[in-house]
Amino acid sequence: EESDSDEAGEGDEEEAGARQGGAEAAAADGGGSGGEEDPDPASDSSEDERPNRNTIGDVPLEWYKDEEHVGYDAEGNKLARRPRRDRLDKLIARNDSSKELRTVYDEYNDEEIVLSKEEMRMIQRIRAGQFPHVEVDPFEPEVDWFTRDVEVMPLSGAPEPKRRFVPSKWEEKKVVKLVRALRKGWIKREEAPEKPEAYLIWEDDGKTLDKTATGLTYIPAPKLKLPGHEESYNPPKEYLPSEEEKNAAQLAEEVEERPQFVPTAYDCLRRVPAYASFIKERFERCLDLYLCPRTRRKRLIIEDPEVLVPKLPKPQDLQPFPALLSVRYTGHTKPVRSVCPDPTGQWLLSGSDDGTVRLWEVRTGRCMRVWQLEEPVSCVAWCPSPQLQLLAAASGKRLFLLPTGTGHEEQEAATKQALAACTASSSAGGGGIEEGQLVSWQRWQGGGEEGGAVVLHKFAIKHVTWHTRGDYFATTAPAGNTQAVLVHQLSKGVSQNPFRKNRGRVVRVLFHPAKPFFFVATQQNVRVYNLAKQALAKKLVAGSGVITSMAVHPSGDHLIVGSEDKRLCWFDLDLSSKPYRSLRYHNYAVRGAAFHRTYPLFASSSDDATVHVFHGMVYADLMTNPLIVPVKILRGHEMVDYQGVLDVAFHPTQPWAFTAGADAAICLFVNP
Amino acid sequence: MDAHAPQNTAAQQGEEVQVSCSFFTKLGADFRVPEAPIAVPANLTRYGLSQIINHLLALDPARPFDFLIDGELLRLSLHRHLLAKHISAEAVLRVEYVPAVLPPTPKEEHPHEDWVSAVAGCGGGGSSGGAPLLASACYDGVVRLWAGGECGASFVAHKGPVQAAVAVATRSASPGAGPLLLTAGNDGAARLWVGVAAAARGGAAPEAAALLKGHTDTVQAAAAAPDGNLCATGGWDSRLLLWRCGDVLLAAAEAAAGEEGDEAAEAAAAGSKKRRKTANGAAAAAQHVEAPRGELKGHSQCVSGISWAAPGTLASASWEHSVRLWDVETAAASDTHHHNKAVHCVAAAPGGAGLVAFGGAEKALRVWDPRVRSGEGLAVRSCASHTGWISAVAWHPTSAHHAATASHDGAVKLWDLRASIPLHTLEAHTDKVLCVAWVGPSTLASGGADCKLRTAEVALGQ
Repeated sequence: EESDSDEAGEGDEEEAGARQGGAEAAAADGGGSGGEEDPDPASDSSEDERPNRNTIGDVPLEWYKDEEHVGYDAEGNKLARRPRRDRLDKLIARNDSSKELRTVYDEYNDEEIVLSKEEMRMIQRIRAGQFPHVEVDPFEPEVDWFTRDVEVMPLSGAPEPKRRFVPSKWEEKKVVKLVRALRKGWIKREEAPEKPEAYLIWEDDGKTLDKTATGLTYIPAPKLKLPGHEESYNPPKEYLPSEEEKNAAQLAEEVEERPQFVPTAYDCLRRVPAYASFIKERFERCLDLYLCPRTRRKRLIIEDPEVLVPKLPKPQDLQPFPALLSVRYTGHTKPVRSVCPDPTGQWLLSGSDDGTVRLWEVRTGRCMRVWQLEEPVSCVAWCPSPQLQLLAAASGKRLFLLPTGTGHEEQEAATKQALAACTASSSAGGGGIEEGQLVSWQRWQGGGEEGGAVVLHKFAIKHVTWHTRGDYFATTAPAGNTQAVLVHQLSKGVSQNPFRKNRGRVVRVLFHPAKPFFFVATQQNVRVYNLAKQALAKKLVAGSGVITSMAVHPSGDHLIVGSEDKRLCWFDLDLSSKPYRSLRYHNYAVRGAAFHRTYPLFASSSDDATVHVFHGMVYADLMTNPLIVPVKILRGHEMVDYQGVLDVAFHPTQPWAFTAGADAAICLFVNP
Repeated sequence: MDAHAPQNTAAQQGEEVQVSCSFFTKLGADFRVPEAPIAVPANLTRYGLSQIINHLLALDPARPFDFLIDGELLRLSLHRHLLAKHISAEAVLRVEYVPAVLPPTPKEEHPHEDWVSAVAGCGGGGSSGGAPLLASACYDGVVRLWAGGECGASFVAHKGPVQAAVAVATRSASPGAGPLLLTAGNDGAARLWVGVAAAARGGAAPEAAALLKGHTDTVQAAAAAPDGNLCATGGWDSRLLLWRCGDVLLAAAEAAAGEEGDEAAEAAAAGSKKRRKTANGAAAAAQHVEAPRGELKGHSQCVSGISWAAPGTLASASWEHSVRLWDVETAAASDTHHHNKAVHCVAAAPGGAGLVAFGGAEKALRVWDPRVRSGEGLAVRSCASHTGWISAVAWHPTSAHHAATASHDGAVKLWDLRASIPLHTLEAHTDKVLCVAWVGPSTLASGGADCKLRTAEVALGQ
């Protein structure tokens, strides 16, 4: 090939002028066959050269020597080897065409490239040691574009500012101040602390800096165990394992049981071999440092752990409290929503989702009477008046006032009279609520010959509560919005809406047992209204959670509030608007709460089917906080549809608790 | 422990230890054995000692005996009893033997329409001859009279449940009159019925002789004095009232009827002391309305149980956790025991023995001995065997040691109160037992929430 190109060079010189046009046509041909434009002759870049057809890369071409193809194109197709011409063919071709002299063979791409005349000339110039391109003039005259001489006229006409040559007044003032402060000793120069002549260089190893530069607490890496005598290259004899120990170690089945390091003695340091598990140990150390989270554990120094336990009396010292399940009142067929004992403690009322109100004898568990109301009964309440034997039951939108028929003749007569009086103005049964009226008082003939009264509301009633004297009662209808709370007077048969608007959804209302106060519990907080002054007296914030139940202490100064976030909050009304104690013992939402009338007891019932009984002692001394001790968990109900114990009530005279369960049973727990 | 160690080992060895016992009895001469001390093995129980007595007496057929050591029934082996009571085994042991009480035999079972709330024995039965006469009261207000297993009469006694029924002894001249019956109920009234015995045997329905009107709430308990001339009622209005009763009241009613007989119609219209009897819808007859003769003031809550301990002494129990003994003459409480739970029933030992048994909102029966002064020992003993509340307790009419209890666990238990475990248990009912009463000395009647009245024969063997 070398000779070929030489001959081509010579041939080129001979026919330089005569074949100019033909060579150009051939160059155009070659470019067309490559599919590429001709490279810019002025560019030096190797990128501009004709791209390679072959894509095998920089591999020895002899690998393809025996193959049918020379490589692969960009699409991965084989590039077939062209048939090689022998010398005779070449000679004939050279004689036929002068182009043959300018043709070179590209072994890599297996192509024959015909060089143009211009290219031939460039080669000749390179050979002659000249620039390849004719246009390049190495000796061009130099043109001085920029000058370093200072011009007579400046580029900017602005005069030099004064600040360039006047010392700064403010800096001077500042300096004067600093000088004065230094002289008067206001600024104290920090003197370099004297270093003791000798000090422990590892002293601050154990210490930890409080904060690192990143603001995080610096925690030093745990230290490795220092090597001991047994890790010496020539440890004392007592560290060396005996033959039996070695055998035992080798026979040990578990890999973990084998010792990590076996002391071995060498007579000189030169004989010590490389430590086999060095890499492994380093790696594990790195893993330890990298992966183990390190926290600073401040050790509490507690000399007497008993000090930490709050001083509470033992439950057995706080007897009596309900603990034993003694009577089950069975008869309801659906969850019992509400229980209420009568003021003497002889009877028990219960209202259930099956639409019945039942009257039970407490002692024997006998159902004495059943009132069938159409809709589920959400609340029952016994009228506390000693002259009347009357119950109030909330069922749907209707509030029933029914004579219980348990009392003496005089009481029954008084009850009948009271019911007749309160419904005197109304039409006899039926009909809805008149325009502009809150409720409608009507007679009810459903419950046997005694009849009763119905207060028809606009919204479904969820709770009813009596005033202590038994004349007023209040109903709660959470859906009622502005008419959520209604206060009714039994003797006159009138109802009124005490609040023009309620802030939030009202869930419970209660009367204060002694004073003219009224508790309104919305889902978020409890408002205490002074009925005499007609003003808001206090607002109690229970924290998070929807309030479900509320009970007031017989003294009226304390309030317990149960909420759906499993908490029972005790409010001391004289103390704060925040809970005095928040008791979180239940696993599910609290459904009912109750105070005992005479014993220092209160209880909460929950959807986890338990009732927690607490000793809640309130002292007459204002300085002493109430004593709250959990004393007993009452279990006797089962969870039904994620509902447990829906209500709890205490017996008025005995330390007994009634619980109403979603399993349709009512339980009486007595003191052991 | 060291002191007990040799005794324990001796107990294990058993036969080697012997106790010398001297047996005596209060039975007749036929049952006496020589009082000379006999050495008996210490591991003998009641059965072994009974065999010895039978052997000594050469009884055929054999009779079971119970044994008393220092007034307490032997329920363990002799050795363990001595250990438990800290009695020396060295000295001669004086052992009294009494005939053992045989297990009661259930006899009759009468279904009712409602829960049986009260039962009262009105005489008859036992040694006195004649069929036992008994009255049962229900929650529907109906009182039934039974004689010899037959329901002689049933009448509505009260509007609402009847809570108490007691027989009142009478010395009435007419033999057919028999005892009176006092019933009390939820309507706050108590009624005295005459002609009970005749009605029970199929005669005319009993008549309400008097209406005791004074309570303002349920009358929970009633009791008549042994001589029948005074009775007491207590109720949920926490009052304990005393009334004339029996012959005295009947005489007063007759006298009033005679005086005002002419003005009967007028009086009925005025509604003063005379009323038309409407309770059972039977023939309208004049009914005397009686006012209380006195009140025993002291209870603050429901008076739930009353029992006469002696002609002049009354025991009452209340929900305010107290049991009181009253001197009826002076209307003052002579003794008070403060318990820690509500008390539901009380029974005093007959014949002035002084013991008072009561049960309440707990499982144990308590026996209070008011004669024990404070600090001298245990005034109240506890007899625990029931598994539910004790709803009623009835002391045997003649025996000072035997009592029966009814409980909410469905069992009726017979107790000899000289031991702390019951003699026998009758699984009489399938639901709560609400009342129990002795009908004569040998029949026990009980009623309960399974709407059944049951009787059982008990032979105390005395």
